[in-house]
Amino acid sequence: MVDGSEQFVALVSSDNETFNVERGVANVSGLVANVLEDVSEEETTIPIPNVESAILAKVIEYCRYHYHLQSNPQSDEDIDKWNKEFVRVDKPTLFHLILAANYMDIQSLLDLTCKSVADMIKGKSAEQIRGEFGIVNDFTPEEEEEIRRENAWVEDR
Amino acid sequence: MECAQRHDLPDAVLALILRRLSMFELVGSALLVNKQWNQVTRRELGEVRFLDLAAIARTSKTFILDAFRIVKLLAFLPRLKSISVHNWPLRNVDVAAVVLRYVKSEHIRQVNLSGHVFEQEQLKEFLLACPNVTHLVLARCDKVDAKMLRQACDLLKHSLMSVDVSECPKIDRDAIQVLLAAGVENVRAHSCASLTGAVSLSTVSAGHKRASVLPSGVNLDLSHCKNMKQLQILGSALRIKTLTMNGAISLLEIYLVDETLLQLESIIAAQCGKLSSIRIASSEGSVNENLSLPKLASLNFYGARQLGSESVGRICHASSSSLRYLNLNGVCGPEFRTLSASLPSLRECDLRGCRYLEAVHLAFGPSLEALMFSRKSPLTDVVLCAVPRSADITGARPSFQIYFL
Repeated sequence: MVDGSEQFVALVSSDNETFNVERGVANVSGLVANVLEDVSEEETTIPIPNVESAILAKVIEYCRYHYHLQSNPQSDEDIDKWNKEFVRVDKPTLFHLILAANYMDIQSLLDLTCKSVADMIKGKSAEQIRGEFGIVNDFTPEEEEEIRRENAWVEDR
Repeated sequence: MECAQRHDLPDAVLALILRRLSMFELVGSALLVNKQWNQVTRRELGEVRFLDLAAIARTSKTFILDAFRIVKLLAFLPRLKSISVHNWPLRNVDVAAVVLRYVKSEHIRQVNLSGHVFEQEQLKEFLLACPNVTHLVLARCDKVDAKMLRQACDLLKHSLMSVDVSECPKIDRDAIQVLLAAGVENVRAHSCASLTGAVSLSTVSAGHKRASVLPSGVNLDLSHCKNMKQLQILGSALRIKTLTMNGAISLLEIYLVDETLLQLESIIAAQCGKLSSIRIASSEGSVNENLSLPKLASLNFYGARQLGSESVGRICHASSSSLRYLNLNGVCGPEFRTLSASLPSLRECDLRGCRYLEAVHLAFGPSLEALMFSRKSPLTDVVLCAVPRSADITGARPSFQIYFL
């Protein structure tokens, strides 16, 4: 539960910015929860070396919103709306959020961000996917031709 | 790990994203993106275990899932365990023929061919190529008959555990007998109109081939077989675990040989409006006064209007130590006037709708949670012993003698 006596922990990003966060909020992250279990009560600084400050700030925003839903429940519709708004970010940020959610073990954020990327992929050709996400085609022309030939059956006949 | 995209994603995370795409998006697009995507996509397709072709056909907006595409798709799914063509939407594509001909894998465990028409030879070809099938769903398959099932049981004699032949017009007594004799553990035969008159099932007369591997208990579901008038289960090698006959509206009598009932856990015969007798005897026909059904936990005769006190009392007595659920709601034959038993394991007992019930002498135990009487029953002599105080008794009257634990 959220109350005035809540303890705080400091999360330190890869670029050395410190975020003071309520312990309950920080515990939304499986990684942080595990670390807090293992360290002493006084030890409240946890480095998050794989996540830079801008992304960590977003992750904390997500954790705070979802943590406070326990004491301030909202309708599924409102939560859905908030989640959708949360992932309305540029693609580099979205990819970094996926990586951060994966590293910090926040399953619901990982699901949300992966779904968002999957929705961007749906209905697109390989070329469009590459263009959308800036992916370099590392197939040789021969390899690509062979895969195309193998999979021509998927296209309209 | 080799990542070529500008925003590198580990394989495990990329897999999480790809799992949210349809199989055709994986094959048609994701495979072609780059080498990492190609590898992860192939790995994901290799992990697919369940394939519902009808669902893919229904959701495909850009192409028709024809035989050619099905065969190509199957090539990407080497470790499928279950394949279903139930509710197939495309009339002009014989999907069952494609599956039966082209699926060849020892990984396949379940196949659902419900609603399709195919020949015995086609099923044989499939089962030869998929020798480890455990679950066969052949509901509403017009050509499935005893001969086809015998062949299937022969081909799958080491694996077949469950068969559903519901609503198959040619499923008769012989067909069910074939499945039981082959040691199939779960036999579901809902609404089989060819199960007519007296249906006598046994494993002795059939000369079963799998005596050494007969299951410890068979789940037999003959619900809504509306032409079945009598069900006899004979044969000491056969052990029934659950017997379900809901809505068998013509069923008059269930005749069970007591040797078959050692594993019996439940009899569910709701809405069998004509059921008037449950006879349990030895294989020689004599009635065992000391009959014991040590595992019977659930009896449901909801709406079996004609059932009498003798049948109910005898079966309750035989299962007294194990019975947990007893539903006699609607058992209202003029002969059902008394109920007397000691049921220390009982949790729920529904005696509503027992219109002629006069005398109830029941002893319970600490497990009792709910006991329901009808306010319309005559109930002049009710003695309830060892009732826990927490039990919810509805329909009780001041005249009831209730002795609490």
